[in-house]
Amino acid sequence: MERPTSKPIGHHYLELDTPTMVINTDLLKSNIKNAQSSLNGTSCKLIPNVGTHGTAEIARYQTNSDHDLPVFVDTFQQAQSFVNHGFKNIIIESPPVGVGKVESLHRLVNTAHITVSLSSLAHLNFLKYLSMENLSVLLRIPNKSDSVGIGTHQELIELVKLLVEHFKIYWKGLITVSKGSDGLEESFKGILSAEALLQSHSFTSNELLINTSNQPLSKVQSNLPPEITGLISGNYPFEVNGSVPTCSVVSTVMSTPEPGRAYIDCGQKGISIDRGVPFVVNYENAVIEKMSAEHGYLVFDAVEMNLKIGDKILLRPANYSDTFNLYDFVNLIKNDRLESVIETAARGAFK
Amino acid sequence: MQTYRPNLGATIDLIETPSLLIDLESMESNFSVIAETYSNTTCKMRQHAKNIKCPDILWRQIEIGGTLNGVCTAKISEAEVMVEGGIRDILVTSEIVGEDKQKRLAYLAKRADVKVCIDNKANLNALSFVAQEIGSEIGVLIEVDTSMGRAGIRTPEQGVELAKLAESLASVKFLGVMSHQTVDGFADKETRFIEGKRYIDKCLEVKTAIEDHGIEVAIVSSGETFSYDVAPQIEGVTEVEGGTYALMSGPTKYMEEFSLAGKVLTTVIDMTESEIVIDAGLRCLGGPLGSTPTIEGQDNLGFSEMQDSYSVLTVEGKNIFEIGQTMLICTSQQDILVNRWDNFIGVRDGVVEVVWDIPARGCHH
Repeated sequence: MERPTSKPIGHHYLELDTPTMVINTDLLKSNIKNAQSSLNGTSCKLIPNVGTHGTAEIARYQTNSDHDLPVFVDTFQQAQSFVNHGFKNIIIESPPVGVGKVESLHRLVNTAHITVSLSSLAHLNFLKYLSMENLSVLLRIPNKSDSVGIGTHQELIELVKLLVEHFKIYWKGLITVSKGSDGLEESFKGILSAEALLQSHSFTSNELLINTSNQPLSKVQSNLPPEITGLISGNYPFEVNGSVPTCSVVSTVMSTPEPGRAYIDCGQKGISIDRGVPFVVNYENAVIEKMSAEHGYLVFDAVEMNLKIGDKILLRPANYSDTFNLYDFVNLIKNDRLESVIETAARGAFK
Repeated sequence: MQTYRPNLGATIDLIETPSLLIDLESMESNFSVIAETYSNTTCKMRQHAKNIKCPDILWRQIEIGGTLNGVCTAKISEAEVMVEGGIRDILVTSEIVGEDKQKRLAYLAKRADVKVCIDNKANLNALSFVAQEIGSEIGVLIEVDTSMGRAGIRTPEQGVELAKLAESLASVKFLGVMSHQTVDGFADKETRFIEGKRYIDKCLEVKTAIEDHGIEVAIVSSGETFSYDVAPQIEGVTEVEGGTYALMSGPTKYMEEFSLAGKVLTTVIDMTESEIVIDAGLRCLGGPLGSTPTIEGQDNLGFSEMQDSYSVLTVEGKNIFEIGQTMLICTSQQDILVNRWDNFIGVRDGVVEVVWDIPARGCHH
């Protein structure tokens, strides 16, 4: 577990023990508000993917502390973490495969309304012995950007029939995942054509959800068809508007072995490079050359700028979800001062 | 923090997935290679704790042999965990910058034999000042950059200057020199020996230059897993900083005397005609800049996509896999992966024998 030297509330964020993750609270709230208001006047609701950050505090900002509003997570352990923090309406992406996950689901439905996403009869069979109260099902539709989902139209119809006529589990509707802005149109087409097929067989979905968690919300919502009832998004609280980042990792220069080169105390254990190297926020002429497990290699034009040992480097992660997953705590910052330290309680909830 | 712990004695099919397993037989075999290699050498292994992050496992290597009864850590917070775990000889292999961390180091030096690397005068002066204030003594080793372009002095002359300064300052004790290096790709034994010796010789050049000025160099800490058998053959090297050999990973398979001991157990949760989906994704496996793991014993499976909590694998040939089937992932890297987990599940002959917490997980500081 992380062991920073604790700093009192009100401390300047650049004096926190590094590397550490900081979030500008004002920008966070503003991003959340803008995202929510952008869907005003539509029949589509914004469903936060709270698995992105794993913190109950940010999830409360995203739901205006209404624990009955739906939140989306990836795994059963993440769901349990949010249920433990009072959330009562949770959509889980992962299907309940295996005894452990079915048992988790059984515990979850005793205290919250749980929706799971399925794509095969094998998944449905895992639900045979569960209490049906508090459990809903979404069926996952594949599209050109995402191959995971129900294989054929025939299988889709059969699954819906089984759900409605035999299992008597509440079938909520359809879900699809868009994995890139290029595939957005195709994912809309995929889910709408599946719904049209179901309607031709006298079945109607109550929910048509699209998960665009790793895409900028602004790109998604401008093209949203009116039939879509829910937009699942994960990154919007942290989107960048202007030069100040909403979410970054603070690190410290620990060696300047030669001109134009600095060695910093943040490597891959402090910021993920699984989906790209981080961006240097506070020195526009400096870039991350590479990162080892423990350290970062910063290079810059020594004529234009200089760095000394102890200088602070602000890094914006290439992917927020990957980096939240590395920290047990993150710092909320207001007016450059530490406002609170929040726990990423769902960190490491892989199951 | 997640606290899933399977029952001891449970068979592997009862373990929830994904889980990080250690094949105990393989790990112990790796530890025995080290014990044997260093059984009659002056040079000893100083295992790197940044890979394993668990004192109890590091103790196993100490008990099996080949070590100097101490470990390295990358960060001061890791060093604290090791001292709390009963290990009393610690080398922190990164420069420690900032008063808070330097104070932690100085206080820890009151409780254990703590050494740290340095590469500049300002840092050395600061350490001396803080240690004096606290009334402790910190051992210092000069980091030498031998190949990687990271921290460390660049010339023997810089080393001499720093050693002289260290000798003149209160509350720091100059102990020696250290370096770190890697080889790219799959290196055969000849390459390992040529490259390993070339890097270590650079570190020894600094040692000689310092000794030429009448200053004793007690420790030369150099070499790691790829040169574990090179370093003890080079006169002057006193210890090797190996870490990867304990669990190993895909890119280090060329070290055939060591076995892959760390694996992730995963379950097939979905499938299409030509793909399977497993319940292990980027969050638990890591995949720096697109590197991908492999599946044990399944050459017909290849990772085509890694998402947050699942991965999609392409099946070459007929898809005979089933939803619910479990498999073992051979990881593409190691310490970055371990840093994401809260415990190891130690398995022998398919049965859970031990569950170890990973107390230095997340010790970034």
